[in-house]
Amino acid sequence: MKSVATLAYWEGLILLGGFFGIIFWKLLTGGISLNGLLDGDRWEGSVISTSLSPGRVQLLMFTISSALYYLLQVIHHNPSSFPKVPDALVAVLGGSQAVYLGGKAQGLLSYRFKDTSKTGE
Amino acid sequence: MRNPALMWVVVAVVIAAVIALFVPGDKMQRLELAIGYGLAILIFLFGFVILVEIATGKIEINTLLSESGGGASMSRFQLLIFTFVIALSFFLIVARSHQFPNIPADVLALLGISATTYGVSKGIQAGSKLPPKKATANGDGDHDEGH
Repeated sequence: MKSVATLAYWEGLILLGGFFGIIFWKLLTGGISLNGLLDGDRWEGSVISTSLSPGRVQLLMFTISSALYYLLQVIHHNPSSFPKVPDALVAVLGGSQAVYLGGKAQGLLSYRFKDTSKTGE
Repeated sequence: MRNPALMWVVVAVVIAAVIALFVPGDKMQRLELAIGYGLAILIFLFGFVILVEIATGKIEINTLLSESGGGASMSRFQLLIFTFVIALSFFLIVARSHQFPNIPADVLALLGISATTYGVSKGIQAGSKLPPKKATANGDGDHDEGH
């Protein structure tokens, strides 16, 4: 049955590599658009415009850092089970998400309050 | 044969039958090999058909990271990265240990955090009254629900 396992290994490698490769290629060539990934909403009078959002930038940095850290743990430590995610990493990632969501909520709520004070509702 | 999926099924069944009938060994061993090879080939071919259709553009993934109003979604991008990392880790661990690994709660938490962010972000936007979005140089005037 070892030959079946070898076959399954190579099949998995081809499929996973293929899926990752196609998505990566489409991201690089613009087939999957990343336009506006780092843009947040900004209120200008009664309309929304977009500009670079620090919340999104920090979220992207923490996400990529965490993902790379975990992948390196798996590759370097040669484990036979999933390596433990440090509590600090989960906390940092959770905090980063909270900052991003907090900024988003604050922006939307501040617009809502402005809007309410104008209309007097 | 017009249906490619049916053709792949036939190919897998024929290979399994050849192994079951002609490979030397006792009956149980041949049966195990036939089922093992048949399933491995069948599952691979199904995945390969999807892969080819994505590569040739028959299955569109252009809007994989886009929201309905246009613009890329940070939450979706984040979920994509973590899905890649966990899927690759899972594959490496299974290839090394040859058994289905236990998935610890902290790994699920890692995936859950980004999924929760997406959900909360949607909730925040649904709960707000958004004004129209300012038209940009490239003519995108629709409201962007990107997260």
